[in-house]
Amino acid sequence: MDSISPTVFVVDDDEAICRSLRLLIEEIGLNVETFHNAHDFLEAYDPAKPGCLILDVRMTGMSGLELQSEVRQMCVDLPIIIITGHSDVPMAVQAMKAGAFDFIEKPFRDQVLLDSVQRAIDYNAQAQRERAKRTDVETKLSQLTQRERQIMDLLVTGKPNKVIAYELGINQKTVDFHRANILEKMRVDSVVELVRFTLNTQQTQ
Amino acid sequence: MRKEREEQEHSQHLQKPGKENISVFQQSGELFRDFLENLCDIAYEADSRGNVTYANRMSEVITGVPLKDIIGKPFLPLFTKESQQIALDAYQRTLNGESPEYDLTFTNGRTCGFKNEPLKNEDGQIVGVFGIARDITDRKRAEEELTKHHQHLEELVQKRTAELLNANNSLRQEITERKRTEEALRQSEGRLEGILSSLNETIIILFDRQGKHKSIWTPSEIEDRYGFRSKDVVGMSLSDIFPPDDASRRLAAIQCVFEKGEPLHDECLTHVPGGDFWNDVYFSPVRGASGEITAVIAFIRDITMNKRAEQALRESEEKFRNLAEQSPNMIFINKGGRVVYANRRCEEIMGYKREEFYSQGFNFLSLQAPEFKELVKANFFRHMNGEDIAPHEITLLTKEGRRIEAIITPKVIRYEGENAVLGIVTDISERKLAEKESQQHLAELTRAWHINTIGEMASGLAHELNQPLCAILNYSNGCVRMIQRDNIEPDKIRSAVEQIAVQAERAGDIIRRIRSLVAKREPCRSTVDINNIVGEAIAMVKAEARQKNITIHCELADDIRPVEADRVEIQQVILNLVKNAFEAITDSEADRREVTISTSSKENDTIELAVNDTGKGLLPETCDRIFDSFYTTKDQGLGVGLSLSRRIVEAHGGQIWAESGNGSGATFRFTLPKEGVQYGQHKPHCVCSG
Repeated sequence: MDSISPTVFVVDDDEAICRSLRLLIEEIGLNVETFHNAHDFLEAYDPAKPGCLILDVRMTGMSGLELQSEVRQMCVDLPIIIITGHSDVPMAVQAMKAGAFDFIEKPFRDQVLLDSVQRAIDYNAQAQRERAKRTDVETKLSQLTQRERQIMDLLVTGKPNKVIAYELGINQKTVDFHRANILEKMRVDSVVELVRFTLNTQQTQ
Repeated sequence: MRKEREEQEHSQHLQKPGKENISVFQQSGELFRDFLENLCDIAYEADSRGNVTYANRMSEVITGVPLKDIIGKPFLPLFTKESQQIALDAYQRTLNGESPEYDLTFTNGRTCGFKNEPLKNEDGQIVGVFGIARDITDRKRAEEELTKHHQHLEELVQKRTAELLNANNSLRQEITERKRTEEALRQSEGRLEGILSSLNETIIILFDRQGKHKSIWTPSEIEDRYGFRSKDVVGMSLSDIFPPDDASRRLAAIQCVFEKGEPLHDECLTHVPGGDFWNDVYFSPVRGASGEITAVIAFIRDITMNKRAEQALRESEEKFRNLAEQSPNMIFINKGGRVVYANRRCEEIMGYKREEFYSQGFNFLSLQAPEFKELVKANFFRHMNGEDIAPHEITLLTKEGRRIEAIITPKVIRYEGENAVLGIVTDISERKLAEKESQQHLAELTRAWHINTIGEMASGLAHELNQPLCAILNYSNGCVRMIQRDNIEPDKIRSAVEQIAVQAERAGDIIRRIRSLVAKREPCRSTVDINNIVGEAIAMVKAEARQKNITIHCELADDIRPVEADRVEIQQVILNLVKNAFEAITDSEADRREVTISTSSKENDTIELAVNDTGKGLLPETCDRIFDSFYTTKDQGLGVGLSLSRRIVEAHGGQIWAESGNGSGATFRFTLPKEGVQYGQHKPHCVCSG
């Protein structure tokens, strides 16, 4: 996934803003795609593409904040940087509450925007990675039987096999057997590793 | 008095002539005989054979022939040869039933006017001739006097009739009545039978030198009206009847006639039991055989009605004068270029004294401002042709040379028998000033409102200005980075720098627009293209429309003629309507926020502009009131914008109104005529708004 280079999507109804942002952002080696309204963007957008979205909060047709909520529903991870020519506190609060990554007032210093873009892309990449890892854990967990899942939950709490067998009212040999299967299915070598794996999963969840 | 009456009746009875000796005059009784004997005219009677059967005392006086030589003798020898033929001829005609009138000269050279009447017996057969003859010199003189008197009266009446156009009809009728009577009287005056026949209107009294009523004849209707009987008065002196002052005045008149021998005319108020009556009294001397004055005969006519009419005329004339004098307007009458009447206000305002206005050398045109002289002259001639001219504005010049703006309401009237102009002039200088002030006030209000609007638009304009600035920054920073990286792509840099220039110009445009909005300005009319103004207004609200997700549609007609208007004021009206439309649709669904601005040509080169929105529309009652001052349907509204818009549009001679259809939102329309209307000519009802 890292192989796909990130794209900066720009949605602004002002042609000059779109073109000048393209020039600026391409200068730091990023792909830029510009759209003149929210609908064009929503039609063309592929959630699989990494990157970030820059949009003007006030546009004809669908406004920036409306687009933000649309995008949120399609793709949680795409960071949104909102730029505005006329900001006020309530609007900024609303945008941030709705999950905006950043809120920048026009005209802005290029470095401010580019830094923000860079951070957004990094964030997006990180998020993509974590999402992949979580998907991996979930796949592996889904391979466990009900009994295996039961035993694994007790294992990660640090209980010895003997105690688990007693609690479940089964033979200790059976527990041993299940434990081997669990380690096998989860592709870990030890219970310690299994603990770390599941902790990781719980975090991302 | 009672005793006297009895005596009189008694004597009348005694002297009553025998039936066999019947004569017209004898039949008339004592009073008449008295009367005839005292007349200054000849009264005569002749039988069918041409013999004189009766002649009064005056016959003797005039002909110089003793009565005994007249009565019982043929009448022909009394006349000159030339007259005899005429006399005979007339005599024959009278016997044939005619009533000829003719002049005859007596042998002594005196000429008399005769009028014959056939004398009939009880069976209606003509048995003779009777008549009256008057000495023509005396008659002429009396006639002239009377004619003069009547003419005077007539003039008086005519003059007053002319002065008072609105004298009521009943008065007029009375005057006509009186004229007719006078006319009839005048025609028959001088002929005794005329007087006799009109006796129903006249009291005849014979006075002696002491003012005693020797004889009196009163028509019965006057007796009824006045409440006395003639016979009661005979023998009484004036002082028995009238209060001392009144009696002595009459006595003086009678004595004057006795002394001078000249007829005398008098008008007096008579107090009788029936009330107070105005009398026209004509005193005339009655001469005896030797020419000495033996009595004064008074012809008394009741002119109470005329007096009342005159009084009413005088009163209403006085009322008119008072009214004219009290009027806050200048009122004058111009007859043939001369001022014949000017009221007090004319003196006060124009600075001339009335004597100056009325003087022969006064030039009416000197009251007019130079540029109006021709118009006034032209109007004056139109007036003289009896044409009425509608009220119009003129400028007057006072004596001091001060200019006064005024409205003149001219009216052609009859004045002293000629066409004259009655002018009512209202000084509107102050009104003009107030209008001008109101206009200035409007301009100030508009400006204040304008600034307020600009304030509201500031956020939109800031956003608007941020766009090019932001683009410029991006382009220039991009270029700098490119250069820093030593990765110079000349095409990219050139394009970016070009874009920087374009965006800088765009920013400049916006700033110019703001500056032109804020700049202090005076109202100024010029020929403007309304489509052009619409375009500018849209440019100003575009940013706000974007912020509010509003789509603006523009439907501008190509055939719009330029109009005379104040560009900024009209733009302000359009902006106001568009911004109202924006507010009306803020609550609408995002995809139904549309405002349509359209222009179209209407009749008479009028143009119409309409602003339609897709909002909820207006209630009918709101449509009616929405242009009122301080009426608003908005939470934050002041109710100023639309009322000012209306004032501006109406000051341009146009109209503004609101429409609201079923679900199609509200439409505000206004019209502008091709030719702008100048300030101060707009309808008065819009002066009070704002």
